Amino acid sequence: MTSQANKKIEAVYPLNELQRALLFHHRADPTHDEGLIQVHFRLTGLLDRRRFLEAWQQTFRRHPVLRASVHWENISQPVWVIHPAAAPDIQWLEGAGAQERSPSDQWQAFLAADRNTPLELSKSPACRLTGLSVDGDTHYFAWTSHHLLLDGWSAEVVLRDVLRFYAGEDLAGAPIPSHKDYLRWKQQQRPEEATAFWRQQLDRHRGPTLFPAARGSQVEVRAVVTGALKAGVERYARARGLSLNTVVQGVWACLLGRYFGTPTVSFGTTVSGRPPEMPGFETVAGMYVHVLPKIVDLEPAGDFLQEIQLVNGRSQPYSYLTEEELYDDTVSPPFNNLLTVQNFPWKALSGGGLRVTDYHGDMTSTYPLSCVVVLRDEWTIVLRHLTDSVTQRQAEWFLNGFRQLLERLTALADGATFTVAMSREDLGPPPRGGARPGVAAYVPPANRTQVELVRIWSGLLPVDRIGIDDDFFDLGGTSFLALRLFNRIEQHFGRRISPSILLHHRSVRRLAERVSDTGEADGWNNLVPIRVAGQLPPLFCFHAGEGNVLMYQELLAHLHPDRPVYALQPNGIDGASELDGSIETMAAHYLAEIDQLGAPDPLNLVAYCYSGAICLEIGRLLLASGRPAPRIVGTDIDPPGYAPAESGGRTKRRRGSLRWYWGHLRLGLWDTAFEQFAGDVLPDAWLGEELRLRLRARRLKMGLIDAYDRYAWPDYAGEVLLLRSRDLRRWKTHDHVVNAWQRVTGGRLKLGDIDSGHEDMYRAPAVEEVASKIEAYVTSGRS
Amino acid sequence: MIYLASHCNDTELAVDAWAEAVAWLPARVREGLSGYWRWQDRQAGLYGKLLLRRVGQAATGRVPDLSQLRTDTYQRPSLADMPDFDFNISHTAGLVVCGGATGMGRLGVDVERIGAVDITEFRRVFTEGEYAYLSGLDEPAAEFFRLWTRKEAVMKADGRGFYLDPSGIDCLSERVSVGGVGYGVMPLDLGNAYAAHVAARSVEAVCMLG
Repeated sequence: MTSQANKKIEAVYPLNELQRALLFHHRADPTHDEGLIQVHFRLTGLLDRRRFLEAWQQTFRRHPVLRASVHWENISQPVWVIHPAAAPDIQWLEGAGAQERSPSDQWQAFLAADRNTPLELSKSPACRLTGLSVDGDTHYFAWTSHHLLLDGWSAEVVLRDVLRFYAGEDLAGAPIPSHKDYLRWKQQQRPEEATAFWRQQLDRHRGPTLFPAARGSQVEVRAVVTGALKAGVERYARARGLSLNTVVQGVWACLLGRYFGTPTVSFGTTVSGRPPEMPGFETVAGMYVHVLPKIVDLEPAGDFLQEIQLVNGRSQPYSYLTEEELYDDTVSPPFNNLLTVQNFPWKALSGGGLRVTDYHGDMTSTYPLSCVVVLRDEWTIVLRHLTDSVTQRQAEWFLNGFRQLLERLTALADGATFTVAMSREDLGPPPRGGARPGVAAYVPPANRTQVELVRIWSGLLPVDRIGIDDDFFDLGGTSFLALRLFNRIEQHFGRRISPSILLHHRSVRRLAERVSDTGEADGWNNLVPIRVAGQLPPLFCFHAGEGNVLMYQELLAHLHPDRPVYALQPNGIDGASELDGSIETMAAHYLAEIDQLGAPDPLNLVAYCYSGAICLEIGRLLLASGRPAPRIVGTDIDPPGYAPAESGGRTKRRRGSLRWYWGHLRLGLWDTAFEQFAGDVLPDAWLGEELRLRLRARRLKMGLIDAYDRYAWPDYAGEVLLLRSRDLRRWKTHDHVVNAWQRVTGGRLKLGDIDSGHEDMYRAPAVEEVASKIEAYVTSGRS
Repeated sequence: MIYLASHCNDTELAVDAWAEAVAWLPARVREGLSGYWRWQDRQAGLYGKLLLRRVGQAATGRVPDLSQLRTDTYQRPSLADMPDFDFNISHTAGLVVCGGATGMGRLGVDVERIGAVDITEFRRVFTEGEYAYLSGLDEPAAEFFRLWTRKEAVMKADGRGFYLDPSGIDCLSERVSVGGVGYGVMPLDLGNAYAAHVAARSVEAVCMLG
């Protein structure tokens, strides 16, 4: 590299997991970017605009992250790049004139517009500085940046430096550690010890604490705690030797416990991520804050607040571990709510005759529910919630409950213990809701046109799941959205249709009839779309031994909301099509339908009992055609060479042969023998509806079993993750199952355990664990 | 005289308040509201009916009977027992507006919240002239919504709504003509965040109910 080239870039770093998540949100909708941070305040004092700009420029020279940009296009993985120089500028707004609008109104209007103005992350500096002078001594100022590069901690660090430079201080003598120093420090740590500590913590949870995953916008409700209540809580904490952080965590845990009714609760807590062992690192701006798990036992032997405090102390040395290092394909966070306690000492920001007042920081969260507690002269409790996941009434219940529990604390004598039981007495039942009242049952799309229309609707409507019979206007559709809908239909299908069609064709089913020339002819035989919307690679779930796929319904609610899910059912299930006679034919048919969807490799396949063989065969077909091996998650999958029930375990006679009948009648299996006879001999017209359906199901099951028995089980050069139920682990066939899969996969079998019986793997509560393990495996890629 | 009223819809009602408010609605209307998935849409429906009651009373002197609500073949609502009274309701994020008048023929109201917009998505709803005009602007959003709400208000006043081709209606001029019939269009001041218009054969006299 030439020296010229060297000057262009100071450093390049890959984005970590949280940064990648924020980038995803930014790209999904830059005008409603949840990662945008807007710090704004009022400056009082005589302001020299030129000197103020210079102070910002000096601050940009001091903090490399302020000179960074983010890049993701045409590169193998997204990165942030530090440039040697950046030229920040301040945009000073012209006053509107008092007659027209007050400066305060003008400023509020600017802040609202600024929040919805996308930040150009790929340009350095990736931030905006804006000011409005009210008069010579009063000025509004806003610094708009992105959480991908800067955490909340950085805001104060940067503003303090700006004011020091403005006051004429020379900070050259106080250089700050660099990000490289931090990476070097990280390398010297022993992550395995920290990982072991946090995994042990995670093992303490009995059931995850998960709000329904959904989209929607983040809104907040807040309350302020002052005076006697605040003083009372402080006095109680002092008397019991508890930190305020512990008290807040305890209150939050009680609220979650009452809400979910579980014996343990878990939530994320934010830590500054700036190691105290690195001198001066607390004055570095950047993205170091991260989220660590907190598991609280609500049925403890002792004082649960003391317990929280104890664990907080023990976890401190390990708090440098990031989410990326802690979670992998076997361990995922059992929560999607966050508690942030900001209790660092707040010193007034001032310098060079300027003073910052009315300071408003900003918070970023993509969780369905986040609670921020700011402990300053007065305490502020902010609850930020995703509207489609946690309703306003539910958020208010949390907020009011917070206050009620603080009041209960202050009413206790200083020496008395606050218990979880007290919180249950005080808190009323949490409001339920969010479900749709009186709406037709969800019906998934059944052909390609419907799938495409559901995708288009999903991109426009503010709801999580769209069934083909849902009404466009019931889901929040407006005439304005209708215009965009028909523009997208025109672009996608190449057909121009009048928006007025929507007035009489208000569902995807009806609209598809107008859009598609081929009508129902483009349906699938095997593929059953369960959820088609979503940006993530889809999950394909295969039928069990009786051909049905209904057990996967519950799985949907616990997978990532952006993950499409399709089930595959066998030919013959409708009684009309011919059953595939072999595992090889099934695999070929299923893969052909999967490929019509254009899902990216590697494919994500989920099997239950019977369908392990089908997934293996699909894996083999993919490898043979030069494509990457799929990610196969087998839940209690039957092993090679295993004869499933009724495959002739009792008798090896050919079904329907005279010897077979004789054997069954001798054993008293009259019903089975009669059904076989009826199916073999009697014309369909002679059979009643119920018997005909039973026979059809039986024929299907037997056909599937015969195909299984005939499968040759070739060696497979890919990996399989086997999730074992408690039953499987206890059954005497267990060792055979594991050994057989090890043999077929050439030792590439991975194991995971689910704490449930075999029959209950896809039912609540076990289905949550199954879903989280599937998500972890398909997200993290191969090990 | 066209009477207009608006209601803010940015806060979810408490359970009791909602129950109280919908109690006086006819069962059929109440059931219609329960179909909405989001509280924003349910409430917009409720406020629309509340405003209709208010506007109807101002324009006719009596409270409209909502069990008389009908829709015609163009899905346009009217009150069967008040043939002289015409009304129109429009809602957008955070706001519901209703207009009504007697003896003036049909009227149309449209409101949209001003936000970021990709005007290429709306190419087909504008005339060549309108689109060229919007494309020439550095910041077309506010003007886009102004033009669009003018157009939709006129389409609703015509009565055929989306059964008309919006790209055939030129809204740049002061009076807008649809099939030879001219409409007056008046902007409504509902705050900087919104663009709103009312259209009718005559919009000389407009009264915003406080």
